[in-house]
Amino acid sequence: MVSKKFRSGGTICAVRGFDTNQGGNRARAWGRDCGVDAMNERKPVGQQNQMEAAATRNKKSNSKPAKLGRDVQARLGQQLRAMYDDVVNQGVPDRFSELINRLNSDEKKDGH
Amino acid sequence: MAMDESVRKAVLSAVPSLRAFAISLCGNVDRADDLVQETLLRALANIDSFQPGTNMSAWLFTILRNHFRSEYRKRRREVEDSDGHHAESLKSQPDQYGHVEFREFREALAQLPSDQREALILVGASGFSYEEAAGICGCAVGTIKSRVNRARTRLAELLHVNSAEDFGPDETTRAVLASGGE
Repeated sequence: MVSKKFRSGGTICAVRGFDTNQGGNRARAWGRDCGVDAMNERKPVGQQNQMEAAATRNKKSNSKPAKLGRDVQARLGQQLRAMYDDVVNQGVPDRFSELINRLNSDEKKDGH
Repeated sequence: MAMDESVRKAVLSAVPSLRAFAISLCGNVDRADDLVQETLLRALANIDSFQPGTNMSAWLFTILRNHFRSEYRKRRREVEDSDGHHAESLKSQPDQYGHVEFREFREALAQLPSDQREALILVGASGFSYEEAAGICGCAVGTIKSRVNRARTRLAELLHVNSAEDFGPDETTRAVLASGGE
């Protein structure tokens, strides 16, 4: 079992580091792998001072949370793009290049 | 009418991003690839209705999204069943470094309402402008903006993220960790 700290640091390097040989599996995992580890605990908000911690608690109890900080938005965006690019970097599977080329040549035949 | 070479290239170059979008909609790679295939067949059959000079990607994304919307409800149950099966088979694989948190992110994304998820993907990952995303989804620009905002807020809630530190080390540290892990 990997420690929590260890895991939380690994997200992006796993995404990037395994690109070349694991891309297909990861794309599959993205789609299918759901509902596990829901019980993982998150880091406590230990570094915050008491007022900030109280503010966080209050924010959570409200149904409409305050606007996200820029840093959080940036990190969410990074994760989102990493996941997306993982598929994009797989390029065009043969199935689709063949399909497009086949249709193209059919059309040319029809045209002449 | 024969397909113009530039049109063929434009379609081909849109495929990788089209797949990534399809996977985010379907939550299943095989089904996503079927969706891409059906999208391409439709697009190429109607290539004459594509207006040269406009954005080929946006045109293809629109076709894909509409096709997904019209077919999705019919096939939903079937997909859920196969997803359950594949999730089981994945659990037996050894955990990769950092895999768990990556999985958490995917799960959180999958929990978003579909209109929020697609808006977030189109703007945040596919690189479309709010205007283009609105065109693809057939709604107002303001609607896309509010969906994207709600999606981000909900994601942060689901991931219990209060500050950037909750994501772990910054990019530099990650790069060092990644090179050390080779």
